[in-house]
Amino acid sequence: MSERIVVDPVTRIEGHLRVEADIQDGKIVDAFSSGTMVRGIEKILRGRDPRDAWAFVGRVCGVCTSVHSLASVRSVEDALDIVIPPNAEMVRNIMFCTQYMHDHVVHFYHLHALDWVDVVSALKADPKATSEIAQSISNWPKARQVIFLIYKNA
Amino acid sequence: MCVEGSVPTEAEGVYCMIGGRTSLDILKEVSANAKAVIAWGSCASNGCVQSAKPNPTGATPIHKLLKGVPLIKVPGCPPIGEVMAGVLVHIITFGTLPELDGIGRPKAFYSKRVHDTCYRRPFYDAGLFVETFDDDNAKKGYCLYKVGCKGPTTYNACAVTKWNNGTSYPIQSGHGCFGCSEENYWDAGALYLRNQPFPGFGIESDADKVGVGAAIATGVGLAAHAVMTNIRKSKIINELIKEGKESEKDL
Ligand code: SF4
Repeated sequence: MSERIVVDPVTRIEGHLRVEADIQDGKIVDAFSSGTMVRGIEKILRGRDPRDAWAFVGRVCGVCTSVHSLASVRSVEDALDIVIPPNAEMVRNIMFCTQYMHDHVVHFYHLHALDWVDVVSALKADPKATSEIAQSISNWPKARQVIFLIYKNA
Repeated sequence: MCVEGSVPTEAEGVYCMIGGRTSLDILKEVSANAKAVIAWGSCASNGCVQSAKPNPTGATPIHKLLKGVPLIKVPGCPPIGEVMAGVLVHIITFGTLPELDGIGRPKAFYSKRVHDTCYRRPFYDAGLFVETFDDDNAKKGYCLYKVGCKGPTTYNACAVTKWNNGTSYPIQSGHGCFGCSEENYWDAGALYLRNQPFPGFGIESDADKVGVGAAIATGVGLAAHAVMTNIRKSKIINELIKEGKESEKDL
């Protein structure tokens, strides 16, 4: 007999998600996930000016907006047989990469860092121990005890 | 209490379930003892994209669901970070709610139209418009009204605070404002079509007329300024184009 665990809501994501997992002898044997929110943007788009689609579609997610918009622009172009010049493709790739970086920062600091960082007690942290941990994983020059001390006393 | 998002009310609220409960249920519970409610963003303030026609899920903004509690709307998709911080700092510092306009937005940030503080306004007044995004006027940085700019009907602080630490805002990047902080903006005409005549804004429904009138009224000074700016700008632009062409050869 397997036991079912339900995680709902799954936090630290944009939107709403529910995951159910069947566990047997301490191992997951089956799993189901469902988005528990729907807005019907596909229906809202019907009958509108295709040039406007990107703006609606970008609103699908507040963290990774532009990729949805870019995908929508490409779909419209595909449907209308529009081929864009290489320069435009490059501009879009730059937009995409910029957003890729932005998205990772937002996701780490605003969404899941709160599971790892206890913001409320950050000021009680020991600068020495903090710098030791930081230096063990990165050689970033500002991960030094004195710098953490300055922030703590600021 | 701060609320993000609108609430789907169709089909008894099943379109948004969190931990097995409808979002309406959670909203009612959490707001029961709230001193005041801040509706963060256009979704909470006016329903935004999901409430655009035909609004399949019955998405409803917060002020239509909560009665009897002071409510501050901070619309925008997204709202400006500095504005959000400003509202919170006001409440924390003074212990009172900021002064609101007739529909519940903080006056400090929403009392002027984007159009009133837009740096392209001299071009509007002089009747100089971008006609298509790839024309010469677009390169010269003329007013974007005819390619759909909704700045004249949008109350927000974008042209003043700008975005990303004051780097730029849509119009400065060459795209018209699409009015993301206004109620019903998704259904107020296509994004790239000229602003619809708006009740109370009749005089601005025809920018050509206004432009000509204003150019005569405000006189030569303004026009001369606009021309000078353009000469300077077009020089910079020509240099950039030259550089661009050269670097293209290397590719
Ligand atoms: S119409 Fe738009 S671009 Fe033109 S002046 Fe007004 S806000 Fe600026």
